[in-house]
Amino acid sequence: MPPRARAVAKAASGARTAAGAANVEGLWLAELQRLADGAAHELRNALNGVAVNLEVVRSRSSRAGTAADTLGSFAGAAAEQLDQVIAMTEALVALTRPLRQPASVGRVADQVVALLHPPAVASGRRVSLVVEGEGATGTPADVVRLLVSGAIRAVVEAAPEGGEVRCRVGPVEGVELDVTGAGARPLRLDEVWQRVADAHAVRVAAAPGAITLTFPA
Amino acid sequence: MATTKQPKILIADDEATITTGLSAILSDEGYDVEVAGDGQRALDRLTAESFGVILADLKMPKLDGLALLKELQKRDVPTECIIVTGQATVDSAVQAMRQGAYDYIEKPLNAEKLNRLKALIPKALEKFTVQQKNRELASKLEGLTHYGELTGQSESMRGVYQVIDAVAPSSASVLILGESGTGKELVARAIHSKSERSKGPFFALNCAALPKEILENELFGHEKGAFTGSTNEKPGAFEMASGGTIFLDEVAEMSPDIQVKLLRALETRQVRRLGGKKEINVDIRIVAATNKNLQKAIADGELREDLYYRLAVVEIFLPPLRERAGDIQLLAKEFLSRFASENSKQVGGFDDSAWSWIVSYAWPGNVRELKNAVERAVIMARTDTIGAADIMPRHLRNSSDMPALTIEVGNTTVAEARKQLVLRTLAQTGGDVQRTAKLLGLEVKEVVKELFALAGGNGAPRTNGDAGAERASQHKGDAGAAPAPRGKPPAKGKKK
Repeated sequence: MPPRARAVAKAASGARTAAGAANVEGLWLAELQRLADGAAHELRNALNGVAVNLEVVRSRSSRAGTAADTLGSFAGAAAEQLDQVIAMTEALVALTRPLRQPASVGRVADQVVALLHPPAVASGRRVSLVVEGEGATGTPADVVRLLVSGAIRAVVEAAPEGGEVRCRVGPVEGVELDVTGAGARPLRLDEVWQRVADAHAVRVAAAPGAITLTFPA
Repeated sequence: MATTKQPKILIADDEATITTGLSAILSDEGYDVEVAGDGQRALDRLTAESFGVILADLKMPKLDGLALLKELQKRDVPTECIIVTGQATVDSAVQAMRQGAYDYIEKPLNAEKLNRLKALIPKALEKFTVQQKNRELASKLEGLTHYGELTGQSESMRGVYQVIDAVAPSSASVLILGESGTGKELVARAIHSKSERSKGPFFALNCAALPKEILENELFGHEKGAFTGSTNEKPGAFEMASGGTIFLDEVAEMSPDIQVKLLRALETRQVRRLGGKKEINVDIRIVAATNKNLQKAIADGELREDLYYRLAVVEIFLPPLRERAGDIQLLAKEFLSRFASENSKQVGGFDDSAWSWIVSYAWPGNVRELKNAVERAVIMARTDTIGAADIMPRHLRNSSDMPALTIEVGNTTVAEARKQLVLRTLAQTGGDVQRTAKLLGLEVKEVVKELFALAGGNGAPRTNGDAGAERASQHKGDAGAAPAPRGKPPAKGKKK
């Protein structure tokens, strides 16, 4: 190939890569918006729990003759709610920050579960995560986030009331995210999401109620 | 600080940490608070017990806040709902308010919003309390089918009950106006029984039924030797009813000289027996009644105007039965039950044709006529159901006795003529709607529609708004005026 043609081909390839990256970034932002939207109500709820219980502590502690131990349960409830606020806020902040390579599938899954768990609990479902190792992968960070979040969310949304969604991240021929728990319900996986997985050599094995993603190491 | 006697507050939220805290805050404010962990439980509690305010989370398991609100509206559960939402969007807020929420407040409830909530609750409770009182009053009136011996739940009768309630405790004279058979004596008895005189005697005299001399003697009594044959002294009604109530029915029929004596007795609270010389103090309340047009009676010199004003301190107008369509069925059922029991007859009810007749007939003799018709029908009943032919007056049952239909040209509308024709034909066929339709060349449904229209629409008896109530307190002397017929009584037809 003449040098000029090689240069044009290289430029074209670079443009395609940039366009693809921009596309993934856009898709991830949309996914992040969905996560934040789902978590917002629970975030407000938790803040509400903090505010209401602290108000009890504040008003009762200013009253003469109130025993300190009677305030303990309200202070405890406020602290518990505050823990949830912190966990969700931390996860949200982390997911909005640029991610260094190699991306950790385990960490991303942890952040996603931190946001998906409270609303899932509110609607009568549970989400648990087991991470075996860091699960580092060479797959671009936004692609990892998009695919991990999309997979877990799809199973949680399909899970029946009272059901439990189990996520496991472990090293099997690369890094595997195994999500189960939707019973026999079919998953609603976005076509673009699947195309992104294919484009980045992430293997997707979807069955009714379960999905396994295998990232290259 | 709220008092503990206020209505309860229900918190509906699935977040235990929030409900515990909120419950503590509101309890500290003096409210009686209960918690429901989801929308369905909240609905169960609200239908089982009265809560003045419910604080409902918009997003709850089983039944969310909006669905709960909808159910409360559907089931007409009295409470004021404040929606607490973590998803405050204009849509959900508008929807909540449209569905009858008192207000909504957005999570998280920081100090400012908690203060707003604390300010909202007493207002919502006040609204609930006011509405609760209104509901109680309305249901008290609505459920009131009997008042003393009076029966009726129509607006006009409720108006009568209100006037009786108001006037009974006073000593004011009362004039009861109304057509014959409307229950004027029952009203007089109700006034007496609800007054402080209820332990005293109730003395009823029909002024039209007694000759002048006897009426005078009955009212004022006589001394020994006052007239030939008066071998003993006799106290009159005024003396005997002292401390109680005298009911003078058909008072406009009283002769002019007795009217003078009555007027004097009313003014001085003293009477003198026939042939007597001493004045006797009497403590009486007069309740009078008439079915006459008193304005005309005064104009014609039959009734002294000064006596009228003495008697009519308060007027009560009793509406004719045809203007109390809502009460006709109630009365008919009550009479049926009473007479079936008194006569040991197994009569369970009226058939459709009988009901059509009952609600469409004008009942010129009013409640008395209905009562007599039902009594006769019960006594004569051969089956356990009374038909139209059983309840109709005899002269309307036999076609040979049937008076001709009156259509006064220039004074009868087509609708009125049609109504008369349907009624008359129905009477002729003994209440047979199908035969009536065939004879008239109408569809059965047209006959039924006509009957229902006479009854006030949709087969349900018509009520007359509160016209009766107004008249109960304002009517002046037109009781005897010819009633506007709602379906003229067929018996009054004159010419072909």
